[in-house]
Amino acid sequence: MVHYKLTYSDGRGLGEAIRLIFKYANIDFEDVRFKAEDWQKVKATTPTGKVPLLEFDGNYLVESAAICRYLARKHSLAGKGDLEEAKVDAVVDQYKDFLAQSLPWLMIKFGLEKGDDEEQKKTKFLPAAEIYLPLFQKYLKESGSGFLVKSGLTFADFIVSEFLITLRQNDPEVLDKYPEILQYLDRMKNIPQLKEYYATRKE
Amino acid sequence: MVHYKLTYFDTRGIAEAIRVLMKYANIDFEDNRFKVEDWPKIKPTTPTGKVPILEFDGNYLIESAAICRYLARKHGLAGKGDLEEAKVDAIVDQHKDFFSQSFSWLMIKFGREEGDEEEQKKTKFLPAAEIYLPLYQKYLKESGSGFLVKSGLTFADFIVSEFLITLRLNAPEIIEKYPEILQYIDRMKNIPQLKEYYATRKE
Repeated sequence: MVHYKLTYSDGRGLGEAIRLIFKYANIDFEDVRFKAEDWQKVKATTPTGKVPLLEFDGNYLVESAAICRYLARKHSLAGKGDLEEAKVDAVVDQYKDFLAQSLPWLMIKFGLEKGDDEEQKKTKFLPAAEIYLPLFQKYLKESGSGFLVKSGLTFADFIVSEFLITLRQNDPEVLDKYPEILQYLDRMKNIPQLKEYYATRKE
Repeated sequence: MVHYKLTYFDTRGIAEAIRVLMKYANIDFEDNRFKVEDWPKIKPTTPTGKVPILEFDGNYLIESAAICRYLARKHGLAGKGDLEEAKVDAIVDQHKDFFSQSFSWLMIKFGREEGDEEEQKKTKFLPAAEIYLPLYQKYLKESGSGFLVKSGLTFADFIVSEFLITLRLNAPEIIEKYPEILQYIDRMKNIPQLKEYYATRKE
């Protein structure tokens, strides 16, 4: 059996979607978490200076979406058929663009960068939210599955839902205009294999 | 035979990797290009308001990397084996991060956005270049194949090389510090199936 070791900071961030895939698919893994103040020490021990980092069988992978896709393909969480796989990939790419517009605001809000968080929120995050939140809502309405694509749960759901949870934590009203999204987050949190994990983890 | 129609601006941009992949794999496609000034007219005719868009068999795909991966998987251009496929995906994700740090500078330089070009170049692009260009150089040195990964040419090469060509056009003094990268661009342009295409296209 493959021994997986995931290294990431002791928070949800970009690592949580990977942890959720492991939990959902019932794959044992070593969940190595470090505190922010220990990053420089940990960084020096990693192959590329980047986390999340997945190590197994003498190999390693970086980049959260690539890691998710790798695991998802092995556990029927990547979409059904090549066309749907490409749609899943497209949803994840769109999330990445939304994340890029939101990071300046979030990094200031988390105290990780200096700046005017209201300014970044107004000029970067909110315009992006006006584009991407309706888009995710549209995917949810059209799929008929309760998840982002037609065949059901995929790694795109783990990635996107985690980000939506983070947005709601930092701007409690941002999702209020999107009832399907709020229902979707409840639906994710009630997936039987994950219910207990979601209920007890640190958010 | 599948009839592919690719719609994008009459530029290289983020669609050129798709065009080059299709040329390499000898896939016939309708190369539907429009002028920038016609975008407001074209946009409402597209399913999602986004380009590039690939249409075929009544389906469509968006997001340049997702489109590349979809085609690449069908033509042996996605990497050999699941681990290398994940490494290819990771390189493309890293490119996206580098691209997003470079985007504002390039948009101002191209006259598509207002702003202080030198400021964006100095605060966003150059620090990113210091991280990502050595990284690409490392991949090229380590692969042994002359391309980004060990097994040879993949869609990551089409995506990354196009961006490196754009950077060389706009910041030659930066790219010229990396000899392996310059040789790599030459190597791409001398791929037999593509030599004539590269030599005659508008760059």
